[in-house]
Amino acid sequence: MSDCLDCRCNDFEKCLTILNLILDNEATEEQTTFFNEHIEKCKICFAHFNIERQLRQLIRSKISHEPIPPDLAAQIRSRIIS
Amino acid sequence: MTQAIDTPVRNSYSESKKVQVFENEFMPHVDSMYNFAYKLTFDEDEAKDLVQDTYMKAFRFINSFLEGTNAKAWLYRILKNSFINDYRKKSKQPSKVDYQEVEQYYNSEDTVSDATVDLRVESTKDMIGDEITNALNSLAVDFRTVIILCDLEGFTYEEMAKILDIPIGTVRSRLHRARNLMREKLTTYAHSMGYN
Repeated sequence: MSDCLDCRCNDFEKCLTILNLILDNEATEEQTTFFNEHIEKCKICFAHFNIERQLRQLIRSKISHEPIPPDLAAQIRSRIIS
Repeated sequence: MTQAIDTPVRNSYSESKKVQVFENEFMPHVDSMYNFAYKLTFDEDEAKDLVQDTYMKAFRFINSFLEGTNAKAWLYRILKNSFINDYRKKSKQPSKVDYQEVEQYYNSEDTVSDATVDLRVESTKDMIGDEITNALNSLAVDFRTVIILCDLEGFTYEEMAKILDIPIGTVRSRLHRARNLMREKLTTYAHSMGYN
């Protein structure tokens, strides 16, 4: 029984796990090779990979960085030295 | 590299050495520490207090920190513990959905079905930062935290496990659920704006 509607493989869950590891720089070389070969024949996993990658890019590029109050570092230093 | 986070070491720095380690290893992270504190508390004063308390604790326990190891992860761990112990209770923030509840809900056979939630390039390219920030801020604090640590601060799973005192497998599944929630929120927003 296959669980992937596109390539008919049984590895869909495994692929989802690996694609997240790849995008988080946590995949092994073996996992990366497996996945790169797999997406050449599986459009669904390729699409998921792009969606997940896009979500990370969106978070990294759009989440605002709170500017630090200008006096905070000085306050911390003064409490250490006193 | 990360052993100082969880392995107690005892140094005996001189007083001047303590100040030097504090300045060279801890102070460079004050900016991202404040950013993390603000994203946990949503309040400038509470975030400042939290960062100050964190640095006071870091200085008090500086002999447990081995110079040259992962100061940033060590500081994040202290900040996160301070937040849980001291700030979460008195936070003005209305209580969010309990994490355990959320985790149990999303624990149920979620991998395949959640992944089919689509988020198309066209639907999000015009989204402004506020929508992404709001989606992040609306997540329960444990989900918000893993996204911040991984995607914004670039910690590895191993570092996150030590900062949060949870197994690496839990880091992975919590991240997975956090991202699914983000995607659902952004997809809902995209639909409401007439995309797709």
